[in-house]
Order: sequence, then C-alpha cells, then structure tokens
Amino acid sequence: MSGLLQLILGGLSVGSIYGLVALSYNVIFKTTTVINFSQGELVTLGALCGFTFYVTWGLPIFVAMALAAGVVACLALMVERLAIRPIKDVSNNFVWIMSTFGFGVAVKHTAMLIWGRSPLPFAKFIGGDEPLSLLGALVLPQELGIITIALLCTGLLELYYRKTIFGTAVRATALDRETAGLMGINTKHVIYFSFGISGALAAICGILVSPITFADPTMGIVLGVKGFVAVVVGGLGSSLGAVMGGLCLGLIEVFSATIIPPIWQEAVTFVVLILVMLIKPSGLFGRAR
Amino acid sequence: MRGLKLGLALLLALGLSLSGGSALAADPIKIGMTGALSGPGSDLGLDALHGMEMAVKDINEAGGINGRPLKIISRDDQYDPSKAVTFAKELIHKEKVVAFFPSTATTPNLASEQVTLPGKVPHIIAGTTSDIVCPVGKCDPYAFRMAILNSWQGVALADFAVNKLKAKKIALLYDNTEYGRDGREMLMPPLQKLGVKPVYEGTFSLGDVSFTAQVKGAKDSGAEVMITWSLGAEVARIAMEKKKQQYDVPMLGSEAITMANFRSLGGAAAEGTYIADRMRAAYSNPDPNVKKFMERYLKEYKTDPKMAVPSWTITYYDAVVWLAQVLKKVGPDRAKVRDGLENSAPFIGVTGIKYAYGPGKHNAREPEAVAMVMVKDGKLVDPVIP
Repeated sequence: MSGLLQLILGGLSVGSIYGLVALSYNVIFKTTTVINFSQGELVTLGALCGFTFYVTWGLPIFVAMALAAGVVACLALMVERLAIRPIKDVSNNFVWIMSTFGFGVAVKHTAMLIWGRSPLPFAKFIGGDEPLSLLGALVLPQELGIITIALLCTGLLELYYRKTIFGTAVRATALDRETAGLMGINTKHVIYFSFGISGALAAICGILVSPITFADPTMGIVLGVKGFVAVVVGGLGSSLGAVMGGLCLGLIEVFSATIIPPIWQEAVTFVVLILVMLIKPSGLFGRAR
Repeated sequence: MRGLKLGLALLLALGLSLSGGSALAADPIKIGMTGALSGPGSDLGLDALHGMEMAVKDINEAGGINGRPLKIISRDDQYDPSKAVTFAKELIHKEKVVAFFPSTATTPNLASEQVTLPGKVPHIIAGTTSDIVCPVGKCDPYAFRMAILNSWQGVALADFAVNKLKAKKIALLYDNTEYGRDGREMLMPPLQKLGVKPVYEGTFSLGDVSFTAQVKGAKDSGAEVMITWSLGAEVARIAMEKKKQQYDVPMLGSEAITMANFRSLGGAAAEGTYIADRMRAAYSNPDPNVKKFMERYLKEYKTDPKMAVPSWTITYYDAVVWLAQVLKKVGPDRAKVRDGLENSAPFIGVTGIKYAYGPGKHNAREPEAVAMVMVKDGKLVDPVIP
C-alpha cells in the first residue's frame, strides 16, 4: 500500500510540473490559437532568474518568484510582439511554429551566455532535504509544495476566467476575436495579458522544479515537449484538461517505469499521445471544434 | 560621412596588418574537435577542450610544428548527434583538419564517426569510453582511442561490488543513450563471471524529472549495491531520490560521473559514491607531475579546486602532444599521420601515463588503468571501504 502511494506521489509531483507547463501553453492557445514553441525556454529562464534572485541575491523565495515571473512575463510579451504579431498580420499560415521556436533558441543561447552551460544547484525552499513519511510513503515537502502550488494556480486561473470581467473578455476573445472587438473589448490587450500570464506561469513552474531537476539551461527541451504532450492529451483550450493531462502523463510515466520493460519506456509518452489522438482527437477534456 | 568611411577603411587595414604580425606567421595546421560543450556532459566536454588548449599553447610557444602553429577548431555539438555530424563534416571537408577529435559523448561520437571515418581522417577518441565506438581488435584503421573502455570499467565495478563490498544482490540503473546501454552490456559478463545476476534493472532518459519508480524498484528488489551508468546531473538526481526514499546502500558509477556537477548538484546525497575513473584520484596522488598539472589547470581555468578533476584534461593534453610529435615527424598528411600514430613508440604523458598503439591495437591504454575513486567531502579521493 505504502509502495503504491510512493509511486502515486512521485507521479503527481512530476505530473503537476507537466500540468503547469501545459497550462502555460493553454493560456496562450486559448486566446490566439497559437502554440508558443518557446514555452520550454520560458520555463528555463524562470528557473535561471529564480536562481539569481533566490540563490545568488538571497531574496525571500516569494519575492524571487514574483520577480522572475515579472521578467519572464515581459519576455512572453516579446514573443507576441516579435515572433507572432508581425507574422499573423501578414498571412494566415503556420510560420509562427518556426518563429516561436526560433525565439526559444535565441533565449536559450542568451541564457547560456549569462548563466553558463552547466546545471546549477538550487536549494529546496519548501522544507529541507528530510522527507516526510505519509502513510509509509516518503515524500519531500518540496514535492508536496509543487502539487499544492500547481493546483492553486489552476484554481486561481479558472476563477479568474469565470468570475471576473477580464476573464469574460478573455473567453469572448477566445470564442470570436472579431466579434469581441466589435463589442468593445480591446482584444489586443487581452492577448497581451494572456502572454504575460503564460510567462508568469512558466517562470513559477521553472522555479518549482529546479530543486528537483536543478536550474539547467537545457531543461526547457524536455519540459517543453512533456508539457506540449500534456496539453494535447488533456485537450487544447481547457485549463482543467491541461492540468489533468499533466497529472495523467506523470502517473503514466512513473507506473510504466515499474511495469513496462526498460526498452519500451521512452515510447510510452508518445504511444499515449497517439492513442488519445486516434480515439479522441480533441483531447480528454477538450471540446470538438 | 566620406571621411568616416575612409577612417574605417584605414582602421581595418591597420588591424589586418597587425593581426598578421605574430611570431608564427605561417599557415596554421588545423585539428578539429567537437564536444558536448553545453548540455548534458558539458563539464567533461569543457575539461577536454581545456586540455587541448593547454597543449596547443605549449606546443606553439615551443615553436609549433616545424615552424607552423597548431590550431584547434572546436564546435559545441550539445550532445546532439545531428549537430555532431554537421560539425564533423564541416571540420573535415571544409576546414580540412589533419586530425579530428570526435565528440566527447558516445551518442554524437558514434553518429559522426559513421559518416566521417570512411573519409580517412585520423580520429582521436580521448573522451568517450563506450566500447562500441572503437571496439578492441575491431577498431577502424583510422580510429585511435586514448580513453579507457566501458568493458574495463565494468570489470572494475563488478569486482569492487562483489569482492570489496561483498554484495550478492545488485541493481543496475542506466540511461537509454548508447553510453548507458553500452555500459550495461559491458557490465553483464563480469557480473556473470562472479556468479551475480542483477536483481533489478531500471532505465531512464537524459533530462528525466522523476526517478521515483527506478529507485523504488531497486529498493524493493533488496539490492545491496546500486550501479549506475549515466551522466552527472542524472545520477545526482538518482542519488537524491535514493536518499529521499531512505534506501541506504552503497552506490557505484561509471567514469562519466567524475564530472563536477554530480558532486555540486548531488551534494550530501553524492557522498560515498564509488566511481571507476581513468586514473588514480588526483587529490590522493602524491606524484609531483600530477600536482604540477593540477595547479596549472586550476590557475588557467579558475575551476573550483574542490570540484576540479583533471583526468580528462590530462588525456586530451597528452593526445595533442603525442599528435604534435607525430606531425613533426611525418608532416600534415592524414594518411601519414595515421601510419605515424600506429607505428609510433609508446608515449609517456605529462603525468606519466603510458599510451601505446600498434597494428591492430588502437586502444592506447590497458585494462589495469582503471582506478576506483570515491566522493568524500565533495572531492574525489582514493576509495575507503567501510
């Protein structure tokens, strides 16, 4: 029983990370139907800024997190301004796949110039190195913190979408940008705002995961791909779907590593992706378009 | 405006004439290198490049290769096989390097040598230890290895686990790159010879976030020793997960985790890990040659002295010095360099390590070269068995 719980907790904590990345993809997709392929690099930048603010400068973790979220939010706005808007206005094609990806490459290499090329150790900021025993399963306070903060972010975001006037504007823009504009909603601001939130989420995610994976200039590749798979599995456009997609992916990874022979493990994530695409192309929680 | 342009042109001309005025004005002899200079394995990749730079500096200060300076052209393949192939082609066909040091990491090394070895350029493998890259007795005529081999490490690790640590149940954790898989293949025969079959095998990808399942699997199997075959950051994460799950058994690992980030990232969790290295731990080695090299390496590259491990830097230094000796004798011709290396007399490196090639013997070192080291207070030292 405690063994099962150990695996579940492990799966949930890594799944929450994937879920947060998925959420940050989704916030942008919801309003613009664009997938920002530099999202993984925004997570990286969040982790590295967090390293500077928290580890190097010794600021309190919440201040460090807020500052990093601010920096990455600004960068996310730049993604919109530099990599998406000029192209979207010109033609209705898919050039943004390459332009956002290229933006990510530029971010990654700039980050390497500033922070170096090696992973940086990031102290656990929730609790210490001592694990807690939860019904016999051993779990780090940091891991419980990751799960809590991820769920909190999702909850707050959903509340914002459903209960505030800004949220309504976002939903209106997502539904039909032109009509929303005619109704007096400044859709440009709504879109800017979505990018900002997406960047902030990515930064928080990067800082949360750093004590477990270290702050690494190349961490964005894996997290970016896993987050993308999570958001597609969960259903593009649905916040709940993004988080559930992440959690499912985390649990599947951990359990498959115990059940499936080593040689097949790498394929599991993508087999799941393909299966979901075949059976329910809109994702587990997505609405068919 | 016109004046400005004229001024710029003048400055440019001046700059050009100045840059041509160094002591060794002749055309440089180029040697190529690609390595994982960022991303996974970058600690070792940079150590390698630094070793080459130190050697080239020494050689050029002493007059170069018969008056011509030696020049390294290096490329960062980021552990990416496709980048390694592109860069290898560029260095060999465009830059026309006379000898090529393929990637410091197995997967990119393997990918690029399949494309470039048929081009008949001497490949000097000073980093990668995977047997598959230059198998004993079956190595390509143009491939030469200065590094130790996974199969030798396998014997050393199996012997240490079974005979020194008295373990009967062993768990294996390795990554699913060519390096990890080659390591597993090389570890199995010596374990079998000692009558041990691993009770658990777990794999993972580089960059994986969660190691819960693999560590739990090893713990549940009741293994008394865990042997890992992967890179610094990944094994550091395994060590942290192992500590979290309070799975308190000795951990062993292959040479790659001598890289600094295993200790800097793993911290307390990395303590006590035993590693198969290519030479005795420099900190425990009283040899004045090793001390002298270590001091220079620290001074020129300002590495944290605690974290610094000069073994890769020494191998790459030796490799370039040996290559320079051969170049002086035979001239910058690829085929002649190959023959020169193969028929060269045994070479004694800067710290006294002996290397020898011969017809059909393209691995310069011997299985006995492998030395076990141990992490203690963040440093690598001679192993102590509890």
